[in-house]
Amino acid sequence: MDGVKIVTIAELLKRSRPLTGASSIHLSSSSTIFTNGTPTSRIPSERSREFQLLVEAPTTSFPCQKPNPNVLSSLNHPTLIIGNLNLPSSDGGSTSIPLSCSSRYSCFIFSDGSSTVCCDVLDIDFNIVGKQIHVLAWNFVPFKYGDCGFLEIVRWSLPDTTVSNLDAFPLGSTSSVCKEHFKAGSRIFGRLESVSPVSVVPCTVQNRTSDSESNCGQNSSSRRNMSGFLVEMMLCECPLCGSKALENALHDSVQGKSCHAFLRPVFVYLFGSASSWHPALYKLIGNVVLFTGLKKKLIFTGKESYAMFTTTDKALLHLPRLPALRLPFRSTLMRGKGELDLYTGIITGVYMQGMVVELDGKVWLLLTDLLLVPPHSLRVGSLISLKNVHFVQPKFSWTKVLLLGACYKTCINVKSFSPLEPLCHIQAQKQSLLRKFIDSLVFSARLWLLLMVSSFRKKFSGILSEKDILGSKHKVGLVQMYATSYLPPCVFQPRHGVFMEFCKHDECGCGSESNYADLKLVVPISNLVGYCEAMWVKLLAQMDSDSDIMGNSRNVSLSCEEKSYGRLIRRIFSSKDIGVVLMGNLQISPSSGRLQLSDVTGSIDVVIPDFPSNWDVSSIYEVQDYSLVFEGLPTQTDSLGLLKGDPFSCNNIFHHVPFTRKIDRLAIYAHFYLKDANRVNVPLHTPSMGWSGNLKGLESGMFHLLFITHKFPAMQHLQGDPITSNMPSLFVEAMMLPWDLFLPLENGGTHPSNAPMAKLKEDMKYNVTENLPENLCNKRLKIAPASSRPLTSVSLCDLGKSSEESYNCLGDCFSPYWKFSTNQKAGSSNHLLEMPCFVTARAFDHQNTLRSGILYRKKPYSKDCIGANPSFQKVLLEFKFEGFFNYQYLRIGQYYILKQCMEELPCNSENHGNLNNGQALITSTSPLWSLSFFLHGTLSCEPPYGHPPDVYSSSNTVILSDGSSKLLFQEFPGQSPETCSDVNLYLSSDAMNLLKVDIETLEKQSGMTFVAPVEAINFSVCIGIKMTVPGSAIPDCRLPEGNLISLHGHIVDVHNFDCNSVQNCLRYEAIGDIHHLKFFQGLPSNVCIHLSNDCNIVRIHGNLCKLVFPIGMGPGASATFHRLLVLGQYELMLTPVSFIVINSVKEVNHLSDTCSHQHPSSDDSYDSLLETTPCGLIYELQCLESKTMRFNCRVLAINVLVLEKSEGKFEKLPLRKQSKTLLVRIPLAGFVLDDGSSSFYCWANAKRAATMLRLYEKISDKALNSSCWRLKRTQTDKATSTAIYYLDKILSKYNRIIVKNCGAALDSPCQDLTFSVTSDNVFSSSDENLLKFIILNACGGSVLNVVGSVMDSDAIVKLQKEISDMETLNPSVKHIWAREVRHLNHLEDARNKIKELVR
Amino acid sequence: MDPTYGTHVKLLAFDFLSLTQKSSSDPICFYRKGRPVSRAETVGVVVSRERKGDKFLKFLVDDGTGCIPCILWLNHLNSPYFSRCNPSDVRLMADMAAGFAEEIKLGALARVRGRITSYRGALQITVSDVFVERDPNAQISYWLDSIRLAVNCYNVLPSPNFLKHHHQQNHKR
Repeated sequence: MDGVKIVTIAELLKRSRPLTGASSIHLSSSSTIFTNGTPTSRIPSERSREFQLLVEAPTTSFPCQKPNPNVLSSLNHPTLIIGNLNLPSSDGGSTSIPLSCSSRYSCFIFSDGSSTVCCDVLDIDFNIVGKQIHVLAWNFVPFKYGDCGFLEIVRWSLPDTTVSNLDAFPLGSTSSVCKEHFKAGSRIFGRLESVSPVSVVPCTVQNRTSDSESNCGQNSSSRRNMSGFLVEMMLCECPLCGSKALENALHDSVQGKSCHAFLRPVFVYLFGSASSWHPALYKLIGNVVLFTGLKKKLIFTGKESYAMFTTTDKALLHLPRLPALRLPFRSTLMRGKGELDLYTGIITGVYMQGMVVELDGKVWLLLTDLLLVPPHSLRVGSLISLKNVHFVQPKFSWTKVLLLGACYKTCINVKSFSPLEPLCHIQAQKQSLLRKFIDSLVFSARLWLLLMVSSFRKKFSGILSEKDILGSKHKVGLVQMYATSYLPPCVFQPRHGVFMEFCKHDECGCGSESNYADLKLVVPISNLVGYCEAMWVKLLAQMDSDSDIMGNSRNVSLSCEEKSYGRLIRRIFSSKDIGVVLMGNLQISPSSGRLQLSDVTGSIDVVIPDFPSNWDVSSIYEVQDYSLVFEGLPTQTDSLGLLKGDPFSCNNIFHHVPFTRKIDRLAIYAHFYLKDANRVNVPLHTPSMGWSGNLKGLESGMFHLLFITHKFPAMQHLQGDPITSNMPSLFVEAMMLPWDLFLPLENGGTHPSNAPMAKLKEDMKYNVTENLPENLCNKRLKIAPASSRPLTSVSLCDLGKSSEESYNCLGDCFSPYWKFSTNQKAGSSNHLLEMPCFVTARAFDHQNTLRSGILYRKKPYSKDCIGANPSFQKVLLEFKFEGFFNYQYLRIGQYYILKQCMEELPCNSENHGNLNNGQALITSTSPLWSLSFFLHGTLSCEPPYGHPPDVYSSSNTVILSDGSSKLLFQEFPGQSPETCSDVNLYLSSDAMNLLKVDIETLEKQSGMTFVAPVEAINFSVCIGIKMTVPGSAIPDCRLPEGNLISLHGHIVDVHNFDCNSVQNCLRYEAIGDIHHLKFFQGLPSNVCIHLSNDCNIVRIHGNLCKLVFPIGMGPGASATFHRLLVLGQYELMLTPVSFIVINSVKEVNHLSDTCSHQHPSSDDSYDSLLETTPCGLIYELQCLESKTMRFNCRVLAINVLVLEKSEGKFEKLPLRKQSKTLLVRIPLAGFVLDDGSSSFYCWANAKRAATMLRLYEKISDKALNSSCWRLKRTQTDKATSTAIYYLDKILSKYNRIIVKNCGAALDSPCQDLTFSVTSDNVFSSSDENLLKFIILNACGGSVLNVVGSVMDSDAIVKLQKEISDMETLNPSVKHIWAREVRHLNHLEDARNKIKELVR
Repeated sequence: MDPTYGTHVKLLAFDFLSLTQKSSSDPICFYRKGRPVSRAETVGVVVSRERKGDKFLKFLVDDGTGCIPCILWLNHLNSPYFSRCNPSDVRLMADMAAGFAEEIKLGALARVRGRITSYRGALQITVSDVFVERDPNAQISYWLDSIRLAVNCYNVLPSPNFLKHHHQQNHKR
């Protein structure tokens, strides 16, 4: 060849960049593939198309587009490398092998005199080993680490044509071909089944040198490491193979005579110098070979011993002379439970330093074991063949995946080198605790753990050090700690070492995967957000596809002031549906002021009803049980690109690509209880906000009692730098009670316990009586120094387990010692009243500590003032950024204690006359704790946390009576007061009575009585503050005035509002600069809120910016509005000081797409539809032209029924694999309805059809059993006994079922039913019977309230198209389209009818 | 055909029991103030039940204005009437009927639909389906519904135009 340049290895190493020298293929080979003009390696034809695709279009998946993998750059001229191909050195010496190569025994070596590199050869002929070859086509890939590289030899030639074809190769150091040993006991003939990795055994070797040149047979022993590997051979036991005519046997096998059955396994141990044959034997797997010169030995590993052959110095390997005819590999039935089989695929990704390899974009190969050294050519783009790999299909809740687990029997052969540039990522792996831990798991748990490692590294990089996350050789890291706590014992498998696991593979349990489905993935928050967005788009797309035939679009609009607005949809998904775990630290968003759960990748808004004051900002929290809420307007469909990838798929977890939010107008937030969260004990390396949030400040001291009367909303953007001093503040208005709480210093060391309750009671009684005002009128009390005597603390749980000793000890707290010293100034009017009390304070771990305290009144009662209205001091609390946690936590209408600090609370002076100037700056060091008062009788021995209230017990979602789910945003003190407050005070009844006087007065004064909307009409009775507006400087501007009230109700809708309308309804001329902007932007926008109680709807207008816009605000929310301005009847206005508290939210779905096993959720808009539509008789309908009517009717027959499996289109959408939501789609159903006056055709779909079919109603077991349809039912809960459950089971077999009623058949409705299905399955008679039963059952249901519209001719034509092959519809007959179907409320119905009749 | 003929008329017991029968008509037809009726619905308390083995269940529904005798046949599997039908359908109907029979308990508030028949000159309902109401208000609602229907529908003679419409619909069905 002219112009061929000889390239040396040293040159390649010097360039140190990936290169291909495959130009020579271009000249000679016809099977070359050209990619981007570059000829590359030889690729089997069946793979070429895939390969082309791989090169041209890199895998597109969420969230990133992989960068186009660069094709290896080519030398533009034919090249030649001349050098020697050798086996690796057997002594493990590093003379011939590059140091940076981790697979010292597994690589061929190529050396051209200038330098030496590792190499791999396609279609190797063993005759070239040790010879000089011409490398015609090659790839060179430098190692990522170190200055070495790897040569991939695609084509080669032997320059010396005279070299004879050998068929026997010496394995040992001294053996040669001419001295063959064919003793029967020393040879093995069979098929090479598998090859183990090379392992090193420390051993003592007796160097018995028999050669004359050594010391005359003298034995010397030395300790050294012996490397070796095992080979599994399958022997044939036929007479021919047993005979000595081995030559014949070898030829027969090659010529494909099928007389051999290679069934008997035998193991050969190749060690010492023979171990250098490892790469060669790897290439021979599946071939028939002959070993001679072996020795049979017993090998002991612990208790076990194996009979196996070992190599000797004279061992030889014989290969068939003719081209190898490979025998078929055995194949097993695949169930995904760890069976061994063969897989061939193209590498599409290498992750985690080569421990995880993605094949064909869908299959995952695990190469975690340290001894498994993957070939260097395992690069993206290579075609590899895996033999003896375990097939595992893990049952992960978040994704579906096929896993290939490599064990010691697995063989990886590269069939074609990658034409792409990505380097070999595999590097020498260090032994660490985590690596050992990974290898101790079964394959699916290994993948889970590797995903977790990747996820944790993404989430906490920068916050935690790599060492903290991954651990080290001696220290366990965060991932391992976390995984250990969640992995069930069944996923751990004992490891037995190479010998055991190779020889007794099946007995070692390798690849036996047990069933466990509880492994949840901790995902980076950005992936979660991406997942939510994709889910939202799917939801919208599905709603689109399900829009009514009547032309109802999913954009259900609301009319207000003759304009229509889009309606917000809210969907709530439980963590069970999503299958992943939330983890991150809680923070206040500097931009929105909202509470967020965040990690390095992103953050998500959270709602925590039991958000406590004892808050640890530096902790990582893990939440398993949560709900995700999506809120948005169903308008956006242009993000369908989001559907392409699954953010929870393995490659999106392994990939380190940041994800940004794509849908602006979608609110996503998580809702959970902190009691369900676990704190991960790892110190965060974050700049701490200084707020430790624990109970530290509560140890001792004097505390103010505050009652929060109002929280002022954020008035400006919070986007200022939290570190700078120029930060915004938030304000809270509070009333100060004339009581202070004194907590004496605890002696932390002593824990006397077991105080009997009776004694406790007695003490309390005694003390209060003694200090009642009448007894104290002549004394001024002063608190004795607290430090003079240690006080005690006692665990609440320990109460009741009495012992005399502790009795005395606790009794001391209330002993006369704790009397107050008196001021000698007799007759003073300033009395202090003391009330001993017990105090419990909750810590994060929900352990209550019981201690004593003193409540004392700082403002005296005058002799006759008890019961008179005292006035309370108003305090304004200012929160700087670091105190925003506190602000979040405060609730209007609750009591708090604040530690007294003279500097910060100037109002804490004796000057009670100056009440209105009180202002306190709340910083991180002045926390507030919520407070509740209890009678001491309620102090129970059981910690309240042992029994959470029922409403929270099962999940954080409350299932309403109508089946829809609802999330509580606020804990209700009435339900679980003891669990709600940080501090509980237990007082004697006398003390409580005294306190009550103040509390009642206080609550009255602060105007904290909520006014329901119905009362808002008559606002003259409202308790509120009259807002007076000073005379305006601008004569034209008149500000609205009126009473400020608090309102509580259900939000029916919230929408943007038109400026003009605002002006009209507010009845004033200038409203200033009103921005008409969207909710989801930060700027203020005019909103109109429709708020209802059961009877009335009021409208609230005003300006709301995003900061004030609380999470969850929207239809379906129950909310309390504080300080609303009353403008007129049913009209209120939001003022700049108005504060909105969301109490709960429920799902809002205006168009239900599928029928879940739950009842359809009630929906306000359709409630109003039912209320407003006039009720008529079917008989009248024939004459009336009214478009929409309501009928009370019953199902008489079913004409047409179309049922579909919903999973077809969006497989991932249902998601409820665990919560088992059943999804049955009813695109169309035709009913005959009868109301006693006449009957008519009624058409319906989705949940309306489901209601008419009684799919949500319970079916008795008896009826089911007798209907010839028996199901194996594992559970017997409510869901499983509903018709829809069974329908779902049927539909899982058939994609679509169409039922038609061909006859008149009113008396026997199931007689003429015909069934057709669109799937390969034949509709079975048992399924038919069940469906008939469901139809029959539907015909005997209760009275329905149906709102229907008369279908016009266009709609009938549409309908006709839908059911084209079913029947022809007569357009002259009136058809009704059901817009809403509900069960009749008899009481309400009777009321309406009697009104109508007596009119 | 008069629409009241094809529908399940809601008649209070006193009204139901005063229906007249023209024996000569075929199929058997009953009349209320000259308008033909064939099916009825009633809601009332089950005050008596009498079961004849696997043949039938006779029960009385008291709606406060009188008692309507009802008969629920249970002999589907033996009756020659169903011999031409698909055996599995017959089995299903028999099971449904047996289920209804179990629900008919003394004191239950039952909503019963069926054909109007007469046995030995006494009017009765041959039951096609039974729904036991859990809400006692269903009774009052039914009363008022019956009155409303009587006032607005049964007492009003249909216009010829209406009859024409209705005839078309029934024909189609």
